[in-house]
Amino acid sequence: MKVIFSPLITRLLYILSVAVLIGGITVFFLSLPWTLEQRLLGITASTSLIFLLIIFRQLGTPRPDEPDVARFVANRELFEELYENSPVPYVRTRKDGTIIDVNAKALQLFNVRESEVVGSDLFSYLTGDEKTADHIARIPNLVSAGAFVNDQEGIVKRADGEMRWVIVSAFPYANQSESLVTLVDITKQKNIDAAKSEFVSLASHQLRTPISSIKWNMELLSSPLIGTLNDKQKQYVDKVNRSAVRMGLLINDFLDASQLEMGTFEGHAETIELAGFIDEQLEEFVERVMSKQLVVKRAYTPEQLNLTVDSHLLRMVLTNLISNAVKYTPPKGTVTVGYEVHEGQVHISVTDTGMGIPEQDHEKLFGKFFRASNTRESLIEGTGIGLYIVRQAVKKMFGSLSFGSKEGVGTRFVVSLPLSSDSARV
Amino acid sequence: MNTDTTKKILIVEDEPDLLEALSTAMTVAGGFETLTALDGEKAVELAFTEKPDMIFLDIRIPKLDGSQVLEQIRADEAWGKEVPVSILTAQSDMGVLSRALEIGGPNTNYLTKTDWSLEKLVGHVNEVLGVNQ
Repeated sequence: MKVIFSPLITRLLYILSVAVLIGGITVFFLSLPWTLEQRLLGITASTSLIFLLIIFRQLGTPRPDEPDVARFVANRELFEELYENSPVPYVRTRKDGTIIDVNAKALQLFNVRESEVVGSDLFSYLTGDEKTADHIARIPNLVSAGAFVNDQEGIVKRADGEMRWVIVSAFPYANQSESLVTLVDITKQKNIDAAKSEFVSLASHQLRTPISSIKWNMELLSSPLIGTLNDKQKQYVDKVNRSAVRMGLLINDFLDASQLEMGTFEGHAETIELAGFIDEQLEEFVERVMSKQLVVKRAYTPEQLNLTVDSHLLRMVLTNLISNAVKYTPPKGTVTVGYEVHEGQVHISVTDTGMGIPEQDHEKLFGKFFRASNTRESLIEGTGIGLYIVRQAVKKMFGSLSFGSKEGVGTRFVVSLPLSSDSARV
Repeated sequence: MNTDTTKKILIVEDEPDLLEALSTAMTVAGGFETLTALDGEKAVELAFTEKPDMIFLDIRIPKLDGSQVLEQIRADEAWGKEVPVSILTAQSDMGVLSRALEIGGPNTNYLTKTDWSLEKLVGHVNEVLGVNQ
């Protein structure tokens, strides 16, 4: 560490050195073989010159530097304290990644002693998984070229073999000859994320399997190929079937919603033909449409349209909107499904001549488990999670959602999605 | 391939109740011959000894998972590369599914258990095998 004196000592040393200088000059002139006047004149002239020089120097510099030194010392102590005690692990490295020093939190992260880590290569500790290793390896080049590295995911391999997930940021300083690297430990969050995904996957498997078993075995029970049931038995079997179907749909909804919420939903954009895709979704509702004698109208402009989108999300949106339209439209009503293109966006609409949504409910419409006040009296089954899923899924597709509704007249939902593929990333 | 005309279907499913129901539907309603496996190892063994005409494959199964089974089957240059495989699962993890579909390549379908009735599944087999009902 460079030695820095306090302002008082600096001043004393300064006065002392001037005194020594003048003393030296006096001795020098006295020792010369001149007359006394000449020697006194020499001493006076030299000391005056020195004082003049000191005065000029004082005038030339704006302020004596004692307060700056104080501030500098205080700042330095503050920065050292901040660096050392920061809850964020800091590592200072040379251009090539050689570690200059680390703070306490970084030592804790690496789980080593300071002497072991200083002088070694940061990238012998810091790597990535198959997705991120390349990005991590590029950090020294980026930083020595003067670039900043922000929030890159990486892995710290500790000496004891344990792995810690970290968010790496780095920036160059001292004319890009050194860099400061921060490593935020996110292992805990990573584990929670993995646990959430695992839970959803497990729950979907564990809940759906018994429902499938009920449905399939009920189907066998009612199959004439296996045997004949009497009418009463058939009725009971139908009831069990309907419940199983309902339970299956509910589980799908809950899992969709939780995956969207947790952010564990993995998107896959693909190009689909929209008209055919909507027709496919409509087919799922043929039975219900027929039994309610509904008229289904299709309004596709243009007749065919390629759209790059996450088909799983779009299916969620369409089935929920169509399902609602079919559900809340009285027999012999009309459901219109269509799309049109406007200013780089496709507007997909689902319109019904159903019971409508009361105006006081419009604001709460997309809340979880919300059901409009007029549906609760009408004995129509529903959980109120459908529109919540629709809104989450549309958001995930970078689209927007609007609706208009009049009680007793009908409801129209419009989903607007970007047409260009670059905005269809998920 | 089989010499007789009865098509052989391998069903891989770790849940015995589901396995039995699906197998019954395939034999009784579909008129197919069925082979059944409760885990991935048995599935691979039966697949290569019996060379079925089609395979129903669950993803979350013991010993080898569905993707691993599919990988081994598709590695076979002749029969395994071509045999139609329908992934029949309760799984909703799109990451796992898309990986399996990628391994499977063409001739691979994906069906969710809860959405498919036995009747529809028999229809699906007929369609995949090109059998006229």
